[in-house]
Amino acid sequence: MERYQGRYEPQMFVAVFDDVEQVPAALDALRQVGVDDEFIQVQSGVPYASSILGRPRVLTAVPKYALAGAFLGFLSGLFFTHGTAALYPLYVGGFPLYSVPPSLVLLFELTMLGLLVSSFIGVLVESLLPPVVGKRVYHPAVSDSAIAVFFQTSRTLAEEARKALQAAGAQEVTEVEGSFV
Amino acid sequence: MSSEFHPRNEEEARRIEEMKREHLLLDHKSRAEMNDMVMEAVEDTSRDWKIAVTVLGLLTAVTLFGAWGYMMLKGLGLAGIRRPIFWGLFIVAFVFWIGISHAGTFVSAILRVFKAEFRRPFTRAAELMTTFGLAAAGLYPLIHLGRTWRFYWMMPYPNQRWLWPNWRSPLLWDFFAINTYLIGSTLYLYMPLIPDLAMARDRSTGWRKKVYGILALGWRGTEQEWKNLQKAIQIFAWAIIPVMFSVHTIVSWDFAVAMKLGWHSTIFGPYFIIGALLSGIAAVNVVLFTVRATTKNMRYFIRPEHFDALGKLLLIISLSWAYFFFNEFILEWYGGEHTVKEILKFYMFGDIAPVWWTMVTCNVFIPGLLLWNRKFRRTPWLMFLMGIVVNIGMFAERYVIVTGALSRNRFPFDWGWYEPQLVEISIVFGTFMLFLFLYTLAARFLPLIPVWEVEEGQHSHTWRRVGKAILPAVSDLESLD
Repeated sequence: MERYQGRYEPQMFVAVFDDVEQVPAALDALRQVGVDDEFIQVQSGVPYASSILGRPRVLTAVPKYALAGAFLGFLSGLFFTHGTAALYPLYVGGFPLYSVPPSLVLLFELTMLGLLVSSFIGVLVESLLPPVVGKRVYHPAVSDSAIAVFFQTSRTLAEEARKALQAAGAQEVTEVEGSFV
Repeated sequence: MSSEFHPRNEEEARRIEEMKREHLLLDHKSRAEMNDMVMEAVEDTSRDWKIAVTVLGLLTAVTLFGAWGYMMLKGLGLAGIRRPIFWGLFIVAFVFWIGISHAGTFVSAILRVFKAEFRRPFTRAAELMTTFGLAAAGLYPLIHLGRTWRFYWMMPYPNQRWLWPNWRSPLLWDFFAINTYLIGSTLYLYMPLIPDLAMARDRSTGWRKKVYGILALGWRGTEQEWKNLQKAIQIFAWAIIPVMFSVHTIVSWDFAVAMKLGWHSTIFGPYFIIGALLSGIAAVNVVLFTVRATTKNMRYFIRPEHFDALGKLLLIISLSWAYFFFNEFILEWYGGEHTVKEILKFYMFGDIAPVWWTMVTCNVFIPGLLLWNRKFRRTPWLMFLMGIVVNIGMFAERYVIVTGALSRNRFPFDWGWYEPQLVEISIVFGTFMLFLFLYTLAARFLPLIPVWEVEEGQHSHTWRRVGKAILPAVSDLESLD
C-alpha cells in the first residue's frame, strides 16, 4: 500500500498562459481530464468576465453589504437628528423639537457614508482580504498580464492535465503549494 | 487578447500608425512594459525630486503650521477679519479647496459611469487631487475657529450635561459632508489602486515591497476578487456623485441659509457646484501637465488627446458657469432691492471691481474665446496656463462672494472693507504648499497610472475596416458578466 501513498491526495498545480484566448480551451481540456470547476481558480491582471473565460458565473454579495450599511447609516442619522432630541427635550423659542428639513441633510450624509464604507468592507470580507491564515496560491506573472490557472487534482490525473494544458498553450505547468482561499 | 490587424497597403499602415500616435488605447504595449514604465516613474527619486520635496516640506512647515501656530498663540485678531466682515481669506480658501476636490470625483466617477474611455490613464491623478484638496480644505474650519482646540465640540457626542451638538447648524452639516466625502473619495482612490499596488509589490524590493505588500492586502486577482472589486467600484462611482453634489451644496448653504443679501439665493447650490467643477477640471489640466513634464514615461500615458477632451469639458463647464452666474446676477439686479443693488454696484464699480472683473474675464471670456480652438486644446502647456487662469478666476469668485457681500449691508454704518493680513496670506500660501508637498510625495510612491485600467481599455479597443476606411472600434468588455 505504501507505494500508492500520496497518489490520490489532491495536489495543487498552476498553468500559466500569455493570452486569454488560450484559456477557455485550456479550461475545457481540464474539465475533460476530470477536474471540476470548483477545483479551478483563475487569476489575472485585468478583470475577465466569466463569459470570456467560460467559467461559472461569479456572484458577489457586495451590493447587500452596501444596502445594509446604508440602512445602518440611516438609522444612526435618525438617532442623531431625532433620538438625541428625545433624550434631552429642549424647546427653544417655539421651534419644533423635531425638524425634518434640516434633518434630511444629516440623514443623507450618514446613509451615504454607511453605504460607501460598507461596500469597501464588503470587498474585504467577500474576497477574504487580507489573508489571515495559511498560504494562498499566487503567481507573480499575473501582474504582468499572464493568466494563471490553478487547479487541484490527484497525481494520477496530473500528467494528463499537464499534457492537455500544454497542448492548449500553457507556458509552464508546475506543482505549487498553498490553497485557493 | 489578440488585437492583430493587418493593413492591406502602405496607406493603411500609415493611417494605423497615425491613430496609434493619437490614441493611447490603440497604441498597445505589453503589460510588463507598461508596469516597467510606471514603476520606473515611481522609483525615480532623483536629487531634484528630493530637493523639491524638502523645499515644499519646509515651506509647508513654516508658512502653514508656523503661521497657524503663531496665530493660535496671539489670537485670531492677527487676521484681517473685522466687523462687519467676519469671513475672510480662510473661508475663501476653504471653498476654493473644496472646489478643487471635485475634480477627481467628476473625472473618475462621472466619466466612469458614462464609460468615457479617455478617462482611463488619468483618473488616479485626479482622484489624488480630491484627497489632497480635501485635506487642505479640512484644515480651514479648524484654522478659522481660532481656538482650534475647541474643535471637539463638533464631534457627535454629548457634553457632561447630555446636550448634543446642534444638528441644524450648517457648520455641523459641513463636518458630516466633508468627512463623508473625504472617507468616500479616499476609499474610491484606494480600491482601484489595490491591483496596481499588488503589481508594485511583485516588482519592488526592500521597504517598498513591504509597504506595497501591506497596502495590497494580499491581492491576487482571482475571479472573485475582481468581481467584488468591480461591483464596489461601480457602486462607488454612482454613490459618490450625489455625495460630491451634496458637499458643495452644503458649502453653498453656509452662505445661502444666512439672511444676508447677496448670499440668500436659491441658485447658490448649483452655482457653487458648477464653479467647483470648473476649478476642479482646470486644476486637473495643471496637474496632468506637471506630471507629464516632471515624471518619467508619462508622455506615453498622457497625450494631447486627453488635454483635448478635458478642454472640451472645461469649455462646456465654463459656459454653464456663465449661465448660472448670469442667472443669479440678472435676478438680483431685477429685484430692485436697494441693498442688493449697492452690492452689485460695489462688485462692478467699487473697490472690489478689479477682483470681480478678473473673475468674469478668467472664467468666461478667456476660456470662451480660446477653448473653441482644437489646436489650443491639444497643446499641453497652453492648457496648463488655462488651468491656472481659470483657477485665478475661481479664487476671485470666492473672494468676491465671501468678502464682497459682507462689505455692503443694509445700513451704511455697517459697511466695511477687508484687507487680508500677512498671517492669512501665509496660511493660504501654506495650504498650496501642503497640497504640492503631498502630491509630490505621492507621485513617487503610488503608481499614478492605473495600469490595469489602461490595459483593460487597450483590450477593448481594436480596429475595424468599413469600406476602404479603418476605424477604431470599442467593445464594451466591462458590461460582460
